Amino acid sequence: MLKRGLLVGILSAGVLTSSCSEKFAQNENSDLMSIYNPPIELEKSVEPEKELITEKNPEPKKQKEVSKAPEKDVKKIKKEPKNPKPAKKQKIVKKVPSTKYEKIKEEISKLHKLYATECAPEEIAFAEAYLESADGIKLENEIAHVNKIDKLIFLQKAEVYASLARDKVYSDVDKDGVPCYQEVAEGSNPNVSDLKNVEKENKQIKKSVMKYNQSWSKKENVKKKGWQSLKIHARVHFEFNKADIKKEYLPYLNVIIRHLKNNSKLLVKIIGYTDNIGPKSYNDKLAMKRAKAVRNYLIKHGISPKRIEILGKGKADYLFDNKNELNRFTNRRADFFIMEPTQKEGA
Amino acid sequence: MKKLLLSCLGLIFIFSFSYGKGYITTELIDEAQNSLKIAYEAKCEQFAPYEYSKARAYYEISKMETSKGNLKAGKAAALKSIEWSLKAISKRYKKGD
Repeated sequence: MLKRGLLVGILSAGVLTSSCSEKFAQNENSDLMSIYNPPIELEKSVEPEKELITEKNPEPKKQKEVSKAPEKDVKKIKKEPKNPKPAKKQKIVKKVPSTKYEKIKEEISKLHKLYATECAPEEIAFAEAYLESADGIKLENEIAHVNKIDKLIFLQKAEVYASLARDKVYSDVDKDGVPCYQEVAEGSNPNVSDLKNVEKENKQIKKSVMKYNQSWSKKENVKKKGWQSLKIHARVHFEFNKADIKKEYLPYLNVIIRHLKNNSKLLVKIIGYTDNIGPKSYNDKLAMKRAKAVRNYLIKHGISPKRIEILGKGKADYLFDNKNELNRFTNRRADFFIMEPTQKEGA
Repeated sequence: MKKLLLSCLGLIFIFSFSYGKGYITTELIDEAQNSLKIAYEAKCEQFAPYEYSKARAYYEISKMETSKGNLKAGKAAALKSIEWSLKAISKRYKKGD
């Protein structure tokens, strides 16, 4: 009987402990939990701040007033501090822990805007998890609160991870001079250096420039094909509305003729110009006449007409403005361009 | 009568553990660990690092809270860990190989 009684007693004790164990453990107000997690008054840690804030309050002004006020009024004023407004102070105490929470929250939201999920996914995830847990972990409709010590630890950890995430966001892992957040914003890989891409681009640009230069030089060669740029440049000026060569210019023309005769491969290009007076069609004809006059003179002196090319530009390419007679005279002209074949033909 | 009473008490003792409050906290932590393992094997660390890290963080929190006796918070954190590892796996397979 005694044995049976003992067994029953043990079993009943076991049932009681098992059913109560979890409730007992979860109950923060239980004696055991209070021993395990001793309640900490945050107010004590906040007290210095409270003092700081109270210093900013207008109380010191009142003290100044006291020094100025007469003795009767001093008694009244001295009585006032006996009934301070406790509601305001309590509010200040409550705000302090929430500000830290809010600060970290703001920082995390800022980091999210700077692509922290791409640059520092681990750090930002840990910071967020600790911050959310500090406020209480949501379980379906309930919120599982953590005790005050854990709350402080979680906030501390969240702060540390947020700072680590910030460092990573502004860091330059691939050492190309562009921070991580900027690279993500630009759509490039933050772990791969952009310098390689820049080098590739530079190479491509160089190649394209080389190709362009080669093609340009080919074009120039085509233009020059067999002929070099001007060798001798001469000019003949004319009187108003006339196409006769002045005697003064004949020695110059003779020099050119001699040179052309000595070098049978040379070609001549003559371009006639006029001043701005008169209609365009007339001036074009006049310019052509002037070029022809020079050409005729050259032909007279034994230059083959095949070697001479003429062009009448008329009212174009003024050397000076046509404001006075001297300028107009300078513009009324026929330009000579003597060209010789290139040394390497077809180059 | 005594035998009947004993058997009833024994049954109550057994069922108090298994059907008391659904999952036990340790079971949930085990599940969270398993889901993290699956996520790791699916290369979520590489393809969904944010989600995977969050699952890891909640797993750490659940372990910490359970070890301190706050089973409710431990359970909630373990559930969160499972939720985030599932998110990581789904994100990884959305991206493809």
